[in-house]
Amino acid sequence: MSVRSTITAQFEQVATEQKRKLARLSDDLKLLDSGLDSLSFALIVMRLEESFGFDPFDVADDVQFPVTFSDFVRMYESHPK
Amino acid sequence: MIAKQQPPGPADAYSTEQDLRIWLGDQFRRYGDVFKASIYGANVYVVSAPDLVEHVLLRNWQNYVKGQAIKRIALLLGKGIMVSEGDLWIRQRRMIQPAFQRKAIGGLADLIARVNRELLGKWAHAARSNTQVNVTHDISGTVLQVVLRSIFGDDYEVVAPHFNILSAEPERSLQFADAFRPLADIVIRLARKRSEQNRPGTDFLGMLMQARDREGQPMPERQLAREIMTLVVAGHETTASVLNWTWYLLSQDPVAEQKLGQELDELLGDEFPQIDELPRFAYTRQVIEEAMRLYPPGWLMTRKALKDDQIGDYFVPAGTEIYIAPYLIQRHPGLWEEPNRFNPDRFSPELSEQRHALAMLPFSAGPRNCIGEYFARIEMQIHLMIIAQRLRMIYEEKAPAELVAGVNLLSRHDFLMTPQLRAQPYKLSDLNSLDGLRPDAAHGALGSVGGIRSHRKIPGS
Repeated sequence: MSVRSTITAQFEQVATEQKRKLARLSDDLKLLDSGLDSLSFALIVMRLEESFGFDPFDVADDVQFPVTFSDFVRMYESHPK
Repeated sequence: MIAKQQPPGPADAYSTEQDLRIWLGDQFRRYGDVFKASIYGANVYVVSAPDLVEHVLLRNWQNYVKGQAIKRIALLLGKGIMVSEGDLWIRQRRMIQPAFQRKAIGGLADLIARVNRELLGKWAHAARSNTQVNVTHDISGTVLQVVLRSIFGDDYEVVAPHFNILSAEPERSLQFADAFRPLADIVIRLARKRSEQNRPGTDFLGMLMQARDREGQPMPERQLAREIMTLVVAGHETTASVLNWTWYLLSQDPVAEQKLGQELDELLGDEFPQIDELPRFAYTRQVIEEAMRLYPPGWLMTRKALKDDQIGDYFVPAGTEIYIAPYLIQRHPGLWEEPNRFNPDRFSPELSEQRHALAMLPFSAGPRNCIGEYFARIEMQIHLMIIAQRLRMIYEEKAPAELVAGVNLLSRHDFLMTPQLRAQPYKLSDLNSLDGLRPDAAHGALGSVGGIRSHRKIPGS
């Protein structure tokens, strides 16, 4: 399973659990318009940490919060393993 | 020998359709001090016995990192002192701690009193004209002003218009996070400017700019900004929440209100006492303690076990989330008589002595306790002394106050109350002679913070 498909699956699962209407996950979808709330994002980051073994927000250096879905995916794809 | 037994608990996972605070309370009543549950997809032990909490927060604290709940805060604040772990946390805690020593905080008492006198002026004016004030909103603005002035000192006017979003927008949503996070750049620009001018300042920002680690290095500027943003949010929401609930509770209990007024009449003259005299105002402190017991802002703390452990009779597999809910513990019927009743007398020295130290956890406990506890306590006490000496607050809404248990424990609706001047030894004319008490001056002085319209619904609206 690719990084992107893992992330997509988590967005969909958390949206279902949280009973949120998830927008279509296109590259340019703004996360603010995704239909998810802050709790949903916290859950997604936690679940992805379990899947990938890291949290890209959990680094000492500055992290720019992603704006779009593709920014979010890139944070995981570009994170040093 | 490590036990292999796991605690009892509900078979069904927590469903996010339910209010987590209420759900946890229901399970606690059914399963007791330690129960196991599936919450947000994680295996959770909910621990509500003080001696077991002591194990997690103090005796074996190094086996536990911050858990689920902190992720939500991390998305807002980044990796500041509240969120960080390991060496980074140790380094930051050591560098920040001196700014919160009693001597440093004592120097802020005048500032706290001045800002609260402005609020008193506004509310005294409302009392004279028999009009309502929005207590929730006004306290939020006042506490924010104290926090921002403490952190940014003379640069308050520069930063306040940007940071007022904290008071104007109580929801900690993604939209809020999106608007709040860029404010770190303002902090960085301000720090750079102060460095260039070689005037770091004596406020919190200045103290953190001058802090050095054991290798003599300052905080990287982005880390400095994260810590300042953490101090702004943590220093604002928690204190404002407690004071908001304090006024609600006092408005429901004329006896406690009268007792508080009597203490302030007897001990508090026209001169505000020195900071080392504040402990004399024992009942004032008990009122605040009782408000924090019933409505702890940080109503839920979470930890995650790094290695296998044992809590009481139960085996804790590595990775287990531990929920510690001050809201449950501080209303635990085994620890508190009539736990849901507002009764400041329960914090008399005699009764407090008999209680487990961790029956109260409003600031957490152990090495990861709240660094700003002393500051918060001083600020809350000064606020209550200044306002409650002069005013009582009348709340006419009959329906019980509703809670919203998000990151903090908030009231669902703003509290609208009508201030009333207290009958007491001082004369009405005295009010006009105090700094900041002229209605026009008060409105002007508070305008930059208190004048923001709240977006929260109010009862009946």
